[in-house]
Amino acid sequence: MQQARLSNHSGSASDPDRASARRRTGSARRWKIWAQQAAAGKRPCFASEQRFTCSEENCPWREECRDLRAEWHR
Amino acid sequence: MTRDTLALILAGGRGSRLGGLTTERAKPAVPFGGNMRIIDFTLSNCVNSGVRRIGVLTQYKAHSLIRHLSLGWGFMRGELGEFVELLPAQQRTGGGWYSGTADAVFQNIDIIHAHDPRFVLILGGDHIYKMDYGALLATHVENQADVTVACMEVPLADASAFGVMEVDPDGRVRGFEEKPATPQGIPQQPDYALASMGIYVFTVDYLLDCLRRDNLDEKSGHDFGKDILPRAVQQDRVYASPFRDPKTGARAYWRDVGTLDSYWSANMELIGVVPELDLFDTQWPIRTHQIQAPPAKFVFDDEGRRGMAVDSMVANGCIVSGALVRHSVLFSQVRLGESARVTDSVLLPRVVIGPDCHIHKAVIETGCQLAAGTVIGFDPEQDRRRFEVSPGGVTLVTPEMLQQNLDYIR
Repeated sequence: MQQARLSNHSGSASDPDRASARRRTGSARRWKIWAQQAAAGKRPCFASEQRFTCSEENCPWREECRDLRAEWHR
Repeated sequence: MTRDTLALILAGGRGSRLGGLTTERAKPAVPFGGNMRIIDFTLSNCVNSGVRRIGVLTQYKAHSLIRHLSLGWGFMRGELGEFVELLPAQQRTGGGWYSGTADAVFQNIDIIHAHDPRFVLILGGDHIYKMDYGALLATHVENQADVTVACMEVPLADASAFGVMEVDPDGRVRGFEEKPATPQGIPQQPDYALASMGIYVFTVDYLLDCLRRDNLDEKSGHDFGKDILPRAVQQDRVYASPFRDPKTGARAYWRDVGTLDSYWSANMELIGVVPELDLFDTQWPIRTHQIQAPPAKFVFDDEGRRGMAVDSMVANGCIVSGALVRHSVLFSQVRLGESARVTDSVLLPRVVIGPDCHIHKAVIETGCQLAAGTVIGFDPEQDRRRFEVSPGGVTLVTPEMLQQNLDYIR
């Protein structure tokens, strides 16, 4: 029922998980991912300018990192 | 990189294929999507991408465009180095109007100098799409390019309307032809051609050299597509940057709303349950100026006299009074009288639909007042006598066709 209601809005709201992931993005989300990247011995590059030229296909945050999002939402 | 970029939006064109919609305004100022104007997409893309130094080059019937920019896009902070600046043809380098896209930029060469950017992003103000220009700039820097051209695959049958490119496996452009009669297909996809979107990133010194050389060339038409790029491809580093959905890698949404049919269908697409262009996406908002008006109102709920809109987008200030709206886009302050029916139509601001009107598959221009009982969209022959009917069967109605004079600028 909840899914049916959401899907009547638009593309961004049609998937509750995505909508909720988008709401989470912000500085807290960014810092959390940077900490995880650093702990894994990687450069904390999530949502940085490098996303445009990044070729790391297996990165778990790749899709979220490359999502179309205005500069001030990053 | 976006901070080092000056965006120049070419907004001087008339867009004559839109017929009556552009007799009183330039194409970038044509309303779109219920409460926006076409140029809002390019401007929003700039701001969302972090490009906050923007010049808008105007020429043809620019008043409503200028008014829209001053009312809706005056929020940039000049003291922080941000601006949306109007650049009308003002004879800065000679005595003429802008005679081509490259000439329009050349005539503002001193202004480009004064802003001292590292990159210049040349954009059209007449397409509907969402793009992060940061990706384009990153490609440009990575390739150490002189010019980077945003491009997308279009069906071969439609490619004659675009600049068509040949690209090598590294993405370097090896051939460029503007509006070719017989466009070449892409080797891997022979039914498609690689078309320029009219979006270019130039390294600034290279751009200024090109423009100065082009200005001295008497044979040049002073056009980026016809003159600058074909020459650049021969001598310099020109790269293509395919416009794809950043997540899926699939072809991204982009619409040229240059004809009445494409304008109508792009508006209709927005009504879909999950439209390809998501205007409700708060992460990439499309900003605009809209009038202050109360919410849309739907009145009467009696059997046979029910004001309702289904499968539609209805802007603020509208009143649907005992009328039915189905699968349509209503801009602000539209009024519908009793027993009127509107289906598959786009009603621009301040349209008044009288009682008992039946309107189907039509675009009704700003301010039109349709008398009671008017029927449009059911008999193309009859419509053609009074209005414009597109090849796809969309009827355009303007105040001029109704012999009505507006006392305001649309």
